[in-house]
Amino acid sequence: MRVSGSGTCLPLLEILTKEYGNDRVDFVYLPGLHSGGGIKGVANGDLEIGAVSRELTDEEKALGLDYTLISNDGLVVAVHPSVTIDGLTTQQVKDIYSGKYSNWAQLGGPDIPITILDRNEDESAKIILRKYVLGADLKITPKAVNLYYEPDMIEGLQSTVGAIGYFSLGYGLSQDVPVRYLALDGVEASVENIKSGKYKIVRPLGIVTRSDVSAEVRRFLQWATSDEALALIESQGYAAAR
Amino acid sequence: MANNLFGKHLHNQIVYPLLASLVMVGVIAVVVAVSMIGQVIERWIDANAESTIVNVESRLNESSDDIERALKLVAEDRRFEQAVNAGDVQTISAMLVGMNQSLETDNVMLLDDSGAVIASTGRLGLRVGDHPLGAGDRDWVTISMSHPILAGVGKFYTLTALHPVKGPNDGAYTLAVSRVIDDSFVAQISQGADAGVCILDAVKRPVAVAISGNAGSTELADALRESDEVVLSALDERGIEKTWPLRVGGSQYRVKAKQIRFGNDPTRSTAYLAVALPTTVADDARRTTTTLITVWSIVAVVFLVGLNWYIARRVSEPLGRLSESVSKVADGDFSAKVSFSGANEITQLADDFNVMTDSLRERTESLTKKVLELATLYEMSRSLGSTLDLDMLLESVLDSAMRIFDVELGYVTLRNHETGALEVRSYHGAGMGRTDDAAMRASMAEWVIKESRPLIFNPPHDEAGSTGRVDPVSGALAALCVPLVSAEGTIGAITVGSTNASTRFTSDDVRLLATIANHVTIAVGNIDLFSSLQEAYLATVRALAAAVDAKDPYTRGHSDKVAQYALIIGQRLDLSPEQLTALEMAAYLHDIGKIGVAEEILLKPGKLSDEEMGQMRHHPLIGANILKPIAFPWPIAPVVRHHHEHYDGAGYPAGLKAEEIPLLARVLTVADAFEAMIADRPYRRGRSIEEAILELRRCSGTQFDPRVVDAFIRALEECPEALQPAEASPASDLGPEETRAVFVALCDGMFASFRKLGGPRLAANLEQEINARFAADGLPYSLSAGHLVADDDGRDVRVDDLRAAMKAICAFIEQTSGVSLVAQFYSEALEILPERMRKSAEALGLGPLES
Repeated sequence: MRVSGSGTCLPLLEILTKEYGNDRVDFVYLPGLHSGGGIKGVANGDLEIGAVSRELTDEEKALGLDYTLISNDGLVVAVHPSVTIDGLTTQQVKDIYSGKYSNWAQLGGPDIPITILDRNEDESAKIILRKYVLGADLKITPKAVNLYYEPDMIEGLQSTVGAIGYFSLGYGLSQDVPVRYLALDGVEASVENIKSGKYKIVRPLGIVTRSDVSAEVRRFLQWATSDEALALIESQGYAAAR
Repeated sequence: MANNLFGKHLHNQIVYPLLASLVMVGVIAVVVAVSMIGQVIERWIDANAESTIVNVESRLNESSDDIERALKLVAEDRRFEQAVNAGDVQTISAMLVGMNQSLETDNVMLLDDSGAVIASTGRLGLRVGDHPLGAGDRDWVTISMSHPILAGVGKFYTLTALHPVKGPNDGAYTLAVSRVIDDSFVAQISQGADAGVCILDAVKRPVAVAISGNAGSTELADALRESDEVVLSALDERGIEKTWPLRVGGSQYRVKAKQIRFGNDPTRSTAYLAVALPTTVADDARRTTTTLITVWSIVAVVFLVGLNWYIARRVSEPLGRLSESVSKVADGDFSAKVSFSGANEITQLADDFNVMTDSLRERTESLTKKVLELATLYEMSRSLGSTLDLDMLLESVLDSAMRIFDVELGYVTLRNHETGALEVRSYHGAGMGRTDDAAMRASMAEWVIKESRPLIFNPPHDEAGSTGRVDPVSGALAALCVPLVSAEGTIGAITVGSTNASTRFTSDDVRLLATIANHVTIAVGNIDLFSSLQEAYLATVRALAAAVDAKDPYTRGHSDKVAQYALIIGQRLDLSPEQLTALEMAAYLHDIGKIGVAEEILLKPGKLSDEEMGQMRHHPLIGANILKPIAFPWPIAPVVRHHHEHYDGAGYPAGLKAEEIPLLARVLTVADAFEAMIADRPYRRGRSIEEAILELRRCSGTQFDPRVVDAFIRALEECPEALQPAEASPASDLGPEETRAVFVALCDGMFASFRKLGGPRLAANLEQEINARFAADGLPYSLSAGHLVADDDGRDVRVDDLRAAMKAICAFIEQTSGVSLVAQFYSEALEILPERMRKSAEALGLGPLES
């Protein structure tokens, strides 16, 4: 069973498929294609399962594909562990990305230059971040670097002193990524806060399948939305869809 | 040849050496092949190690080239140059993050001209201000060109590419991109090598280890990580060119090491690369190959030995059988045949051998037959010489001939001298034939004798002729007949035949039978000669005996009686027929010497004077001397000479004693004395038999041989009638001489009586008249001075002539003197004849009464 799509959603699917005991189905993970690629792949029949980490556009909805929401994943703003601050306000994040600050010392942190890690504008993470934090019109400073994949972002965060970036909370929690998660406006990024709605920066993680899927896929989808799967999802740091 | 190591069988002599050499070749081949394979595999592994090192090194070089190239691209980026020039750390840092991610390197950093970190991102975890490459040593930055180095950075060992970047105020900044040389990196560059690969730093401390493929276990990894002794040896300056065996955790490896250094690294930074290749596969290959070669060698040896065994058997078995047959043939068994299937030299040999055996058998059989023939002929010729009995001889010859020809029928035909008719003299008919005259006239022998040519009859092969009896006498179906040809002509024939119609007589058989026939002819001639000789002897002896009797009328019949008694004794003593004949002859002639004794002494009645007696004693010597010149077949003369010897040596003429006296003479002495005692003499009467026997007993041991006396007395006791005068032989049994002698004696007696009565004158007249009568009647007799002389030369005495002569004589006497005188004269004449002659005369019917 060929699986691809959003780099954010794939880790979650990997967790699920790893635990999925029914059916002897081989899940083959193809390289990440982002959410749009996953949807196109399913529509073309190149994939059986497409991972999507954003809501479908009207155009995409017109393709007649089934969408199953698995989880709501929080997007967390994080810094290199060397940056010893606990949280930022939305404004402070906006200022950092707009290039207003150049050193963490300006924000009450250590004397370390701020290295800004960013994503492309069409990435779901960036879309969500703009939606809830940066705002649609904020001009990103040219000192920031655009990273194409979420893993690059995570690795950059880990290995670059003074770096700031954002990525999937679920992934971060499930993989124990050694970075510092920042509370935003005093709200800690946690599953509870997401479920309670306090933490707003959330992406829907779902699966796109063709409507004429095989029984195996259907059974997997059934299981993926079961209580058992949900408990698993939550235990890994993702917020369950319900 | 000395004792062969491999036995005495050809088969083993072929198989064992070959087996030995095959096994030797097999073992050598296996050993050589295995050791060669071992070397080849070792070399292969070493070459593999070498190539692994080359591969890994080239991949390392490739990695270095890759990051160097990428580094150049980034370093020469205008935006980056500007950021560096402007000292925009934020931008530099962000760009480094993007660079590190897109290059997929482990760390990217920018160092200022003092070697301190301006910005860094990646696994090295450097902070701003760190001096990762060593602050004091500036070699790596002073060179204003990009190059790779192998260097420890912090706690990592890295492959780092350096590139000079122009900093603000013409500062010589350095952009450095690093790949951490860790296990995964080593795994990456040694991918597909199937080897344990270890990279060691400049001081030969292991940095990273990777076991690729199924090259080995964690033990190998540990050994490499902990710098095993062997690894260290391989890293040693002298050992670096060699490959070293390493044994870890039960597995065998070969280790080779190399110092690595980048060609474009001016700092001459160095590291070491060690690879350990498992020999498992090679060992498996070696083991498998060794097993294969060994198994194949064994199979080949077994197969070749089997083939060899088969071939050797193909050769040796026929030879063995041939040899067996040859020894059988050598032992005389010609039935030993050999035959082999197929067509080759051996079957050819067998065929030739069979042909040879057949030929040998034929020759042997023919030789055996010849030997048998020769032996039989030899036997036959011996028997031909050893018997004078014709029938016995013919029987023996015929028997031999039948044995030679292996037939069951045969007979000998001889022409009778008297009748001229053919007579079957010896016959083996097996009841198949008959011997009557008709059969004789139709026989093969009849034809053969008439034609004097041999005749073979072999029945025709077809069944039709098989029942025809070719020869009615023998009844044979196949027969061979040859004539007996002597100088006087064909005297008979010998015929052999078989009741087996398949018998075939050949010209060889004819020749053989003719040879036998020749022998028979000669023997028959001999026997004829002998019998005529014997007859001549007998005639002579009788004539002499008659002469003696004529000399001493008183002892007439004495010799006959002595002969009679002597034969009685001789038979009693079991003398041979020849001795008996000699004894008889000697008895007739024993007193022949008395011819030489004066009639006065001989006929003198009464006692003789000593001188007369001396003369009388000469008679045995005289007799012997008379007989000596006559070549009797028997020793008669000594018997005559010594018949007056005494057993105690007191006799004459030689005074011999006991056994010195010939046995026959001793017998004769007894017979002579006995007859003298019991015979009547003109001057005395004979004693009785009892008295004579008493006298014999008395003188036994002195005058006579006791043994002879005993034999005689016993014979007399057992058979008293033996003393009776022998029955007169029928006239036909008398020989012509005897007949004539009787006739002459009778005539002489009658004339003597006539002359006594009628006076000489009348007798002379009578003589003339009778002679005239004889001449007129053609009778071969004449009278002369009172004696009848026979002119017939001893041949062909005819009784009728004698009777006619006697009749004529009787008639003349009757005319002159009357019938009564004739009877008187005849009886007187008869009276003085010896008893034997008297009987003969009566038997002949010569007396006047018969006329």
